[in-house]
Amino acid sequence: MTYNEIGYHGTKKANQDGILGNGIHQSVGERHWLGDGVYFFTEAFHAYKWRYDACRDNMCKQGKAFELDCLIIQARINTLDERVFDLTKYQHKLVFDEILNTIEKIKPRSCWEKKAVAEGVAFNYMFNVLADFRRNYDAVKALFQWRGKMLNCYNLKLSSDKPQMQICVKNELMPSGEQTIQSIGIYDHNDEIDNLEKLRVSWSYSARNRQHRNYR
Amino acid sequence: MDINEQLQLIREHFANISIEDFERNLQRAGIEVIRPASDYGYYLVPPEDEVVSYKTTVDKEYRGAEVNMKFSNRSADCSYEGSDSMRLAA
Repeated sequence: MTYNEIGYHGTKKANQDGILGNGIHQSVGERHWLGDGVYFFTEAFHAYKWRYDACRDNMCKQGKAFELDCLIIQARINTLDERVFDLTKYQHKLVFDEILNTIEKIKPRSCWEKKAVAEGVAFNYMFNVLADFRRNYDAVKALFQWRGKMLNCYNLKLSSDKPQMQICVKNELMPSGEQTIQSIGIYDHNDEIDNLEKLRVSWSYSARNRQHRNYR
Repeated sequence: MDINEQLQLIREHFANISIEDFERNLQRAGIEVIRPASDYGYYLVPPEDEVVSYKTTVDKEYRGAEVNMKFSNRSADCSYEGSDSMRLAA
């Protein structure tokens, strides 16, 4: 069956021409939790918040006044259902855990001894070293939950952690030769900026609120 | 490729690899660069672990040490202690 999902990618405004002309570059850096690939959120809000946080952190480091530099790219992720390594499916999670836990167990007793193996390391191991995974899957899909660093209080059976679905495209072409990332365009978030801001503020507010409750 | 084939492939790979090759692979995979999502407050938690995490957290924080000890005994019987979410949440 065909897998079709609209994804949102947050970036700088200066990247607009490059992306529309040449496509989106693979992500690299310490935060690529699903390994090397082109990252998308399934909700535009997360792409907005991603850029908002990046701008805030950068300006803060440089001691400059905050200025939002946000471009949201929208694209259609197109492949087959069976070619998505989907961590919301138990079987795929089991395979991923096998790799992560094995690496954790046998990693050399060197400078990495005390370093937790990041999810992205396990994904890169799967897709760059164990070649069958890249042959069989075009993308990884995973649900992350945000707790904040100090939050571990649960008042609901269905966790109140905030969900964030991410898709990391590993292969730009399907075996049939079709593009995996199609219909790349600009998502005009300015029309709904008020709504995005409300969501962003509520995200931060509820984190503070829960933190406060924990310490009371 | 079904799940058994995938697990077999993974186990064979790790059973046969030399420590030098494994170290090289870890570097290629970015072990010195990529940080866990939990460093940023994000957790990759499957639904079944979420329930365990909820129970243990509630026991630890709200029901006191005595109940917590009882729960720990129960959870050990059910092999809950080794779950990923426990490790991450610790």
